[in-house]
Amino acid sequence: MKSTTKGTTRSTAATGSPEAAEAPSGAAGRGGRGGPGSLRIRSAVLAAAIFVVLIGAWQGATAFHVVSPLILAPPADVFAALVRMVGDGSLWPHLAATAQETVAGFAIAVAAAIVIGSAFAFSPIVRTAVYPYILVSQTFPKVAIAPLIVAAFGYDLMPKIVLAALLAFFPVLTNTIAGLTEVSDDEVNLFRSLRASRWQELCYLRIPNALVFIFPALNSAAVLALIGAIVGEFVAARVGIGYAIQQFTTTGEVAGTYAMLVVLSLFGLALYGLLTLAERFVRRNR
Amino acid sequence: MGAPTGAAAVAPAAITVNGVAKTFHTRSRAVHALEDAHLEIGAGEFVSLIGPSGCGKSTLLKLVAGLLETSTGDVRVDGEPVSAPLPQVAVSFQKPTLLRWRNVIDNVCLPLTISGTLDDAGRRRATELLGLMGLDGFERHFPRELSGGMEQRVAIARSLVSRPSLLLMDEPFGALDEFTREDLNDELLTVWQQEPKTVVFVTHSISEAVFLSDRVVVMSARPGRIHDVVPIGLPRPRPRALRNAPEFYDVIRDVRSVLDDARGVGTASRQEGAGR
Ligand SMILES: Nc1ncnc2c1ncn2[C@@H]1O[C@H](COP(=O)(O)OP(=O)(O)OP(=O)(O)O)[C@@H](O)[C@H]1O
Ligand SMILES: [Mg+2]
Repeated sequence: MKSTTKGTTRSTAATGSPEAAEAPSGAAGRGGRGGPGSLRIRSAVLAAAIFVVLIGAWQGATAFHVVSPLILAPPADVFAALVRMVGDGSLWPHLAATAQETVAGFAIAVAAAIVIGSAFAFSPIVRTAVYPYILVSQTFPKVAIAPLIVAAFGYDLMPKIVLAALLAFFPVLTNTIAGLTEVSDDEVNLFRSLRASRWQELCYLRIPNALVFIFPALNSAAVLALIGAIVGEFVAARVGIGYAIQQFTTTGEVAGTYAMLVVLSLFGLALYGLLTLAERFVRRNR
Repeated sequence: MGAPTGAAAVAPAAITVNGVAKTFHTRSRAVHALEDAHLEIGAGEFVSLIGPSGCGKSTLLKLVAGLLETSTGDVRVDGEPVSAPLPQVAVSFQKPTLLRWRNVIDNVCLPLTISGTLDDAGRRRATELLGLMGLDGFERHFPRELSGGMEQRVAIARSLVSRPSLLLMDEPFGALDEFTREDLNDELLTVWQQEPKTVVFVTHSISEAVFLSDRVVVMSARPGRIHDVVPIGLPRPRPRALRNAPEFYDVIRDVRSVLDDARGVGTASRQEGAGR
């Protein structure tokens, strides 16, 4: 279960207990709603201040040549590059390609992990037989086989989707298994005493319990899928944010590179926001 | 007495435990959790099980609940041998075991949801039971927003919602402070008097057992056995004030001496008591 690249997921599976997973969000939610409005305003002011300081430091570092302009572009230039790429539309094909790869890889990974995780959870034989292989492949650094995957799946979107899916798969798998199996004896006894069928136990106990485990895993899976897509584009691509980063870097357009990084983090934030919305929706309706 | 909506008279269940033994086989050895248990519990009786840790109280309760199978002997509810959980039986546990993702009212309605009988009348009954448990207005709250005592009240409402004729409770108030526990004892007795049913109640508290019960079953450990059964003659209904009455303390002393006897420290403690 040890993997260095996926520290965040490991820790959710390790601390495992649903209370642990749910308590922070619940507490934060209550604090936000119940607390005085000034708290929110003050933290917003603080966040803005940090932003200004960071940009200022960045500007200072470039203005006074603390860092070579070949490595760090001034914020104004980065902003200009961003505006230009949005203006002439050259950003969209790259963003569209990377977004497709990430979302497709993520979706495939999540679907596969949930199906396979359920099979694991319900068949001890499958679990003991197959789990060692899963563990081995989990500790294996999958980006190392990126060139092979590109060779196998060609130069289009496919190899990036495969890489994205491979990277995103494991955190969801392990947390699905944990969520479906880690129910207490009392909970199982309660359902047995209510004469619940296996199917009812699944629908009313195990799946809702698993969701508490799966949602945190989805956040890391989304990030990993994005990493997979970018790595795939680094290896070989004609389009995509990763491809654009390589182009800008080799031609010395450092501002363009940083503009792409900004786009990547905005895209990552958007994914995160969507997942949070999805989680809220599912929790309300389960 | 305003019994909750349409409290159809469900006849309480009678229990027979006949020569029951339960042995658990762990990897290293066999644990004799319960040996040669005989017990008759009449319909409508309130019976407590008390005894040292590991004496088989939970085991006996789970055998009656049909959650465990006997190694020898048989358990009957209303004359029928128990081999699986029965529909007219409700079980509650030391932990409230509420589903975190369901709000209070949906947790209370869970038994009806599972049995496919949830309707408006059922929801109304759930709301009334919550009122009876002092939880008016908490229907839409989630378990994490409740205190331990409130969670346990919800669990009790859940175990009552399907109008069981037999209620099996395993240390339901064990984790609560003295005052909350006494409040819940009073509420439990109120419900029990409004809707007669047989109750088997596991506890570690002698005073709780005495206050609630018609009879207290004292068990001894290693191997788990039924040591003695003490009838509690205190009149009903039992008001709060009974807890300060001398006759209440007399009964507690009786039960304690039987319990000391069961734990094999009987003579010593009785002499001690006499010395004071
Ligand atoms: N599933 C099991 N497997 C093996 N041994 C068990 C199992 N359940 C209970 N036991 C053993 O059986 C004995 C009786 O257990 P039981 O839980 O019935 O005791 P208890 O009287 O309820 O104790 P407590 O007051 O601590 O709850 C104990 O020695 C316990 O270790
Ligand atoms: Mg017990």
